[in-house]
Amino acid sequence: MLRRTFLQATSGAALAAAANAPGEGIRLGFDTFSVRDFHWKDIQYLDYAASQKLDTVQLSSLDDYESLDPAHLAKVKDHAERVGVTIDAGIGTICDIAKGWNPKEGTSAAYLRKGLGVAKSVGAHAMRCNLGTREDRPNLDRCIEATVKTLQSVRSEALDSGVRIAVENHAGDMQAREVKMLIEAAGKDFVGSCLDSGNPLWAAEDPLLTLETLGPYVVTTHIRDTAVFEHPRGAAVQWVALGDGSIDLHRFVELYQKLCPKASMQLEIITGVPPDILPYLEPGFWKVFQRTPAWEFARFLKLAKSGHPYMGPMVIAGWGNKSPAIAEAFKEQQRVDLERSFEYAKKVLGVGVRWKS
Amino acid sequence: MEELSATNTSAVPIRLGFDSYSIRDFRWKDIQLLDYAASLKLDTVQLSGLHDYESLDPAHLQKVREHAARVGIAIDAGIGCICPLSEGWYPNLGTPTEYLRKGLNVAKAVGAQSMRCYLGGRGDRPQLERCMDVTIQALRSVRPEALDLGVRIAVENHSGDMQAREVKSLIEAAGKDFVGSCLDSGNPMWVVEDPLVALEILGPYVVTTHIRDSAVFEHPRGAVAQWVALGDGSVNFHRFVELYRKVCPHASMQLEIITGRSPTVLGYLEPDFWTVFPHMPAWEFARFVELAKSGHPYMGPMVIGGSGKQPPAIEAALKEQQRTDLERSLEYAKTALGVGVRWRG
Repeated sequence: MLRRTFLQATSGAALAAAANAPGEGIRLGFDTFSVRDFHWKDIQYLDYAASQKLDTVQLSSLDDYESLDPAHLAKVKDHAERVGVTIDAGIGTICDIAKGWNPKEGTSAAYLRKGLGVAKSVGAHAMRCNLGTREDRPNLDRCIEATVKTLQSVRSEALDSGVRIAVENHAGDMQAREVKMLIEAAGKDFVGSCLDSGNPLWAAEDPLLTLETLGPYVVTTHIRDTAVFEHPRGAAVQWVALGDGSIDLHRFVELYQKLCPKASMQLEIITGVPPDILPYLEPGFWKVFQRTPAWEFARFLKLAKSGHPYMGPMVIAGWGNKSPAIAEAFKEQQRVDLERSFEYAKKVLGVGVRWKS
Repeated sequence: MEELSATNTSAVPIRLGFDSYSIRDFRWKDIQLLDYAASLKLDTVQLSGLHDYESLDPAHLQKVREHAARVGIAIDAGIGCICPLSEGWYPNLGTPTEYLRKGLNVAKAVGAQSMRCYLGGRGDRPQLERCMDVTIQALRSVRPEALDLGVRIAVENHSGDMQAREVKSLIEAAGKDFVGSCLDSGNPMWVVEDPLVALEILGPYVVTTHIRDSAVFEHPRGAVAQWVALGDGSVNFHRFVELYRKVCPHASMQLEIITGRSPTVLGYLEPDFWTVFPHMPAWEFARFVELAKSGHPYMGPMVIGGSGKQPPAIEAALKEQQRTDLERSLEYAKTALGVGVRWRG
C-alpha cells in the first residue's frame, strides 16, 4: 500500500492498523531541534506537543527554556503535567577537549550539574548530552577518557536527582560499540544512551546495528530516517522524514519494542541538508575507523546497496546562512516534515499512546 | 584549464542568452526581459511564448524591436505546441497553421530570425508517427510565409516527445530551408538520449537552443535524471561546447535553467519502458548508459517543490532559486565554457 493511501484511510482503519503495528505502547514525542527555526521556548513546545497528541518532548538544550530561574522551571513542570506531556531534558557537548566544547560553560562537571538541576526541576528522568562530532574522531580515545571522568564526577548528583544521563551518538562522533564502552566505563547505573538513528549513517553504521548494540542502555532517543545509496566514492546518505528513507523502520520498531520499550521515541527530523558522501573506497576514510569490525561495516554496505537517493520534494539549503526566502521555506519545511513524520510514526508504525485514546 | 578556455579569444564566438522560461515566476514581459539580459551583459534572449509580450499590438512589438536594438540584445522568438493531436495542443489557438502564422508575424515584428515551437510531450509518444505527420503538414502549410519573413521555424525536442533522430527526420520531411532545430540539452534525458548524441545528430540543423545540465545516475530500475544548473550535472559541457563551435556556432546559446524538480526514474530495465521506443538503435542507448554509469546524484542545495500548488514560502523560495540558478549558470557559461560575446567587451 502506498504511504499516502494509508494515511488517507479512515481513522478507525488507521487505528486498527496501528494496533497491529510494532509500536504499541511506545511513547511518542520530538526533539526541539526538529523545529529550531521557530525559536519557540518551553511552554510553546509543550503546547505544540499537546496539540499533536504526543506523549513527550525532549527539550534538548538549555536554550529551550525561557529562563533557568527555579520559579520558571517549576512553572514549566506544572504546565507539562497540566497538558499531559512528559519532558526529557538535555544539554550539549560535555567533553572539554572536543571541538564543540563551549568554555563559557565553566567546567564540564559544572555544566553537567547545571543540566541535572534543570532536568530535575522540570520533572525529567533523562538528560541527553553528547561528546562531540565527527571532527573529534582523530582524538576519540582521549575524548572518551575525559568524558568518562566528567560523568563519574557527577555520579552522586545524578543518582540523587533520579535523572539518567543519556549520551548521544552525535554527528558521527562515536559508533554504537564506542558509546556502549563509554557508558559501561562511566557507570550504567546513572549513564545510558540517547540513541540517534540518523547519526550512525555518518559513521558508516546501520542504525539497526546501533539499536542492537545500545538497546539495553537506551533512555531517550532521536529518531529519523535516512536515504542511503551507493556513490562512486563509496556511499552517500541524506536525512529525510520518517518513511522517506532506506531504513526498515518496521524492523527497527519491532526491535525497539523488545529492547527499550520504555524509552520515549523522540523524533528528531532534520531535512534540507544535502547528501553527505562517505568515501569508504578511499583509504583515508578509514584512518578514524581503525577498530570497526568488517562484519559491522558489511551491514552498512548491505543497506547502501539496497537504497537509492531521496527523490521527493525538499528544500535543500544546508547549515549555513540563507537568503530570507530560502530561510522561510526551510523553516516551514521543518514543521511540515516533523508533522508528516508523526503521522507515519503513529499510523504506520503504531507508535504513541495518547493519540489512540 | 577551464579559465583558460574562457579567455581563449581564438575560439569561435557563441552568443549567450536565456530562455524566458528560466525565470517564469517573475512574470516579466518583453522590455523587462530585454533589460535584464542587457544588465547581465548577454547577447540575446529567447522570448519563448507569446505570453512573454505585454501586448501583440504591432505598435508595441515595434517598440520591443527598437528597445532590443537600443540595448543590444537579439531576440529569438517562440510559440508553443503546434501539433493538434498532441495532449499539449490548445484548441482555442485556432488551427496550427493560424498559430504558426501568428507566431511568425510576431517574430518578424520584433526582428527575430528564428521562432521556437514544439510538437508535444512524452505523453504523445504512443502516437508519435501520426503527430509527426500532422506537424509536418502544418509546417509545410506556412512555408511561403516563413521564407518571405526570413524567420526560421525551430522545432524543439520537447519534454520527451522526440529523440534527435526523429526531430531530424521531421525537419527534413518538412523542409530544411525553413525548418530547423531548437536543440534542448535537458529534454534528451526523458528519452534516454545522451545530449551529446542529440547535438551530433541535430547540429547542422540547430537555429536556437535550450541549454541546461542534468545529473544522471544509475538506479535499480534503470537510471535517474534531474535537471540542474550548468556545471552541476553529469553532462560534459566542455565537450558539448567544443562540438557546438564546430557544428552550429551561429546558433544562440539560450540557457533554459530548470531546477527545483525531483529526480525522475527512467525504468529502462523494465520491458514496458521500451514500448514507446521501438526504433531506438542500441548504440544510441549505450551512449546514455555510459553517461548514467559515470554520474551521481546532485548533492548540492536545491529547493525541490512538490506537485501542484505550493505553500507561499516554498513558492517564494522556488522563485528566488530560478534567478540564482540562471545567473550562476550564465557565470559558468561565461567563465568556464567561454561562451558569450558582449561580456568580454
